[in-house]
Amino acid sequence: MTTPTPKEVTQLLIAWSEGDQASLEKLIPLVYAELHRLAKRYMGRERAGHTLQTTALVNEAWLRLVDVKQARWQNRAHFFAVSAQMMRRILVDFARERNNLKRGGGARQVSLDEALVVSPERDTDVLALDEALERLAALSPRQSRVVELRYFGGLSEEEIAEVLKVSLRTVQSDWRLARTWLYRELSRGGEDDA
Amino acid sequence: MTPEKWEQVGQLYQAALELKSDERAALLDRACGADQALRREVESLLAADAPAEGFLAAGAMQDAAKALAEVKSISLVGQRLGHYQILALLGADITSDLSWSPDGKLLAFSERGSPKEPYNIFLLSLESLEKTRLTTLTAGSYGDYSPAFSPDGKTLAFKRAMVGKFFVQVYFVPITGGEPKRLTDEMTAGRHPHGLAWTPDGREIVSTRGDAGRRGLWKISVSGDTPQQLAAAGDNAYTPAISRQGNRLAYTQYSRDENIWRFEAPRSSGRTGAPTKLIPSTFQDISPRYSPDGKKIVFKSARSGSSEIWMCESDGSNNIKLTSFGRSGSPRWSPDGRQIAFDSRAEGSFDIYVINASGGKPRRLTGESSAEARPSWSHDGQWVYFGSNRSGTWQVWKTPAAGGQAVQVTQQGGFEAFESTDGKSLYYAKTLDLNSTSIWRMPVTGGVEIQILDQVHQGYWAVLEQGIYFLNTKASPQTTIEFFSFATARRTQLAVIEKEITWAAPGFAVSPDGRWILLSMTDQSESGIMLMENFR
Repeated sequence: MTTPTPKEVTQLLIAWSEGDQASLEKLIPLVYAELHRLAKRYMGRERAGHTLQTTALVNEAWLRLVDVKQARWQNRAHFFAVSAQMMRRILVDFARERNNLKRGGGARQVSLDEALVVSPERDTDVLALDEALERLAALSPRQSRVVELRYFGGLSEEEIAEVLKVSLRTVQSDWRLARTWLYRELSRGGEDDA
Repeated sequence: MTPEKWEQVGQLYQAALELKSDERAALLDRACGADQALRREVESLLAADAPAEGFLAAGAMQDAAKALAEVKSISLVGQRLGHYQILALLGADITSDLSWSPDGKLLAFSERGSPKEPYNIFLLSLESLEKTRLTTLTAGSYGDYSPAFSPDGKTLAFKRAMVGKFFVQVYFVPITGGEPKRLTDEMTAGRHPHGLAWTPDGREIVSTRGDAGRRGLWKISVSGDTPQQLAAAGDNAYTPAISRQGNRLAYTQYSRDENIWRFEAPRSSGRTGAPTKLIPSTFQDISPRYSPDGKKIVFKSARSGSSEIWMCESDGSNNIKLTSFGRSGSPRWSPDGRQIAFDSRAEGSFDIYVINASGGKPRRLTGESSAEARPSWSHDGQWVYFGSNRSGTWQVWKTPAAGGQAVQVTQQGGFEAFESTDGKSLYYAKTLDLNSTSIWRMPVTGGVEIQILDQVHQGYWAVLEQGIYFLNTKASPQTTIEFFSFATARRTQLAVIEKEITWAAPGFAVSPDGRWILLSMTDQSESGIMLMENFR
C-alpha cells in the first residue's frame, strides 16, 4: 500500500463527511495504521511520566495524515469520530493480548517485546468496558457512541454533538447516564451476572 | 430490559437529577406506580451517580498506559517468559559481570541509572527479588564494578575507578553493608570489567593489572601485603576464574599485534601504492613522528614490557629505546630536531616531558594533577602546546619550552594542536572524540576560530605546508586517508585502508616532504582460554 498524500486523505474525509460510505472504507486502514503506530509509541512514553491524552494522539494522527488547510472543523470532528472506533479496537486488542498471556502462562512463547504491552491488573477493565458498551448499544446506540467518542476518541462535547447531529444538552445527559450505568455495571463485578 | 424501557429509565433519571434528593421519592411514586423493577433501576442509578463522577475521566489512553506502567514497574518481575525469568528491572545500564553468592541466594551486579551517574554495586535477592544498594558513589566517580563474592559469602570485592584518572583500586565491603575498605593502592587496570577472583581460602584476590598492551594477572593479599604478579600467566591475561577445588586458575588471553605501516603518497594524481610494514614488533607500536629533516622516526612501543619512546631510521632500521619511564607516548620533535616532547602518566596523572633526542633523563614540563597530553612545538621552538583539562574542560594550553607559566590558548574547547609551517596559524582538534573530531584554526596571536574539517579521526592528522593529511573512519564503507588542500579547500581521497586500524591514538605521521604517510594498523588479534594447574 502506498502512503497517501494528506490531500488524498482530506478528500476521502470530505467525501465521507458528505455521506460517501466508500470513502470511509478507504480511509479506515490508513487511519488505523497510523493510530496503531502512535498508540504503541505513546505507550512507550508513559514511563517518563507524561500524561497521555487520547486527544493528543488522535490530533497527531490528524496533523500527520490530513491537509489541515483544506479541511474544515467538521471534517476534524469526523476524523476524530472514526478514530474513536479504531482506538477502541486498538486498546481492546492490547488488553486481549494481555489476557491471552495470562491464561496461557508458560504454554505460549512470549517475546519480551510483547510482554511490555501486557497488564494483569487493568485488562478486565478495558475488556469489561468494551462488553458493557456493547450491552449499552443494545439499549441505546447513541449513548454507547457518546462514550466511545469521548472516552476512546477524546472528542469534546461540542464535537460529539456535531458528529451525532444532536444538541449539546443531549450529549451531556447521554454522557451522564451512560457513565453512571457503566460505573454500576463494572463495579458490580461478577455478582450480578446471573 | 428493552430499549423502550431504558428510554423510560433515562427520562426518569434525568428528571430526578433536577430535583433535590428529598423530592425524588414523590416523583418516582408518581411515575413508576406499581412498576417496582423500574423504580429499583432508577434508584440504583441515582445512587451510583455521585460515585461515578470521576469515572472514565482520564480517557482510554491514560488508563491503558497506566496499566502498562504497572506491568513495567511491578508485574513483570518474577514472570517467566519461555526459558527466562525476569528477576529485576534495572536502570540505564549494568556492567557485564555478575557474581553469585556461594549459597546461590544473592546476585551481585553493578548498575547506574543514567550515563551521567557512577556505577554502584547492588545485591539482588533471588527469594524476595529485592534489590539492595551496597555502595554509594556519587558524581565525579566512574564507579564501582566487577563485584566478586568471597568464598564464605560474607564479603564482596570490587573495583573502583575515578573520573579523569587511569587507575583502579580494589575495595571490599561486607555484604551486610558499611564503609568499603580499600585493598590496593592505585593500579593501572583499565575500566573494562575484567573481573576479580578469590582464592578458595579467601585470603587472596586475583585481578588484571598493568599497562596497555601488557596486562598481567596479579595476586592481591586481603591482609594488605604487596601485590605479586603471576608471571606464568604472561602478558595480556584477563578475566581470572579460580575453581572452588583443585587449585585451577582459568583466564582469557588476548593479544593484538599493532605495527606501523608506511604508505607512499601519490605524486600529483592517482592512488597510493601498497603499504609496507615499516616498524614491526609483536607488541604495540604506534604514535610515529618524523624528525624535521625526515631522517628519523620516533614512536611509542610496548615491546620492552612497558610503553616507552623509541627511535629508528626513516627506513625502520636501528631501533633504540629512548625512555625507561613507562606509560609514555605522543613523542614530538622540536623544530631543531634536538629534543622530543612526550606525554606520560608514569608519575600519576598525564604530564608533559622533554627528553634530548640523544637520550638521557626526561625533564618534566608540567606538574599539575590534571591531565596534560599531546605536546607539540611552536615553529620557533620557544613554546610547547598541549591539551589540558585543568580548567575543568579540555583546552589547548602552551608553556615556555624552557619552563615557566602556562598560558591558555583556546577558550571554546581544544585538545591536540599544531602550528602551521609558517607559524602564523594554530590548527587543533576540538574534541577527544576518537572517530569524529573536527579541526579548527585560529591565529597564533589569538583571535577568531573557524572550523576547517570534520570527520577526522582524533590523533590521526598532520599539518603540512600545502594542507592537512588525515584519517577518516566515518567514510563509507571503508576507512580512508584524505588530503585537505589549503589552496582549494577541497578534500581528496588518497588511500583506502584495507586493514583494521589501531583503536588507540595517536597513530599517524607524514614525512616533511609529503612523500610518506605512517599509520599504525592491527596485524593480528588473538584470544583464547588458558588453564593454569596447581595454582596457588
